[in-house]
Amino acid sequence: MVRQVLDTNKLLVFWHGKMPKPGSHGSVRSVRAAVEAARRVFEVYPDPFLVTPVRLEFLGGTRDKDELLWADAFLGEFELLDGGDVIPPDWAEAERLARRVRRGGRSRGALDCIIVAICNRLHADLSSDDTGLP
Amino acid sequence: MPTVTFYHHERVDDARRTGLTVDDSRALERYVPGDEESDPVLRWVVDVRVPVAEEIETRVAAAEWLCGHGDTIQAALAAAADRLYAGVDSDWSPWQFDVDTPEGTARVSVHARLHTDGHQMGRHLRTVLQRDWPAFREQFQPAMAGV
Repeated sequence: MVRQVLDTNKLLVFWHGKMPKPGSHGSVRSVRAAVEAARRVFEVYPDPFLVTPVRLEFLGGTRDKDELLWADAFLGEFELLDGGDVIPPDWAEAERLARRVRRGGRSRGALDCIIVAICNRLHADLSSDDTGLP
Repeated sequence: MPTVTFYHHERVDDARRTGLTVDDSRALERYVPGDEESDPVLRWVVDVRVPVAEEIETRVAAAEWLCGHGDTIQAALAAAADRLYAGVDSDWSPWQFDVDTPEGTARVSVHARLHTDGHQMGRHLRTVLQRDWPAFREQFQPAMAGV
């Protein structure tokens, strides 16, 4: 398997129907649409994985019980590369990344730090459009 | 029908990962570390998916397939590179191309982080063809010698 982890921003474009082409599908509004949106992710990315913080971020972005139900259906199509285990060395690596001040003065998000830390441990590559990654 | 997927990842730490999977199982991979501290974020990715007639169940069988059918991957990559280099309607990835090959229709997908125009991506794919693809074939085709 290709160990390619998708960041939340990569999932959201499918969730909002902007992939594979803008406007080709509407936003997810049912369990069925959620599963179809996940299938489209697999058509574009071979063997995509998630990690636990991405799953949490996605769930935390839902605004009502219906969206949470659809999000569960969507996320259920993916495998967690970390198996749901975020271990102490991940937190230590995340703190190291959070403490790494780079030129330009950008702040580092806590979730981004832990996502990168897990990818480093599991020798995975991270697909993301986030410009603020540590 | 089984699918062989060739992939090439380039990361922001300049590491490069080139490999071949068969139906989601990683069979062959070549990883070239970057010069900087590890940073897993991808700069861009290309993958080529090819349907195959035969079952490929071992790494040796995957190397054997690469030896006999690698030209299919090379032709698909070259076609995608040419099309991107010549210009595409959208400057935003992913770009996907179906390329007819003797093996059937190969699908090439190219993803770039943030804004990378098609012309620039075409140049990147040409570099893969000149640098990474030959090194990948050389690394794994000798596996056939032990068969």
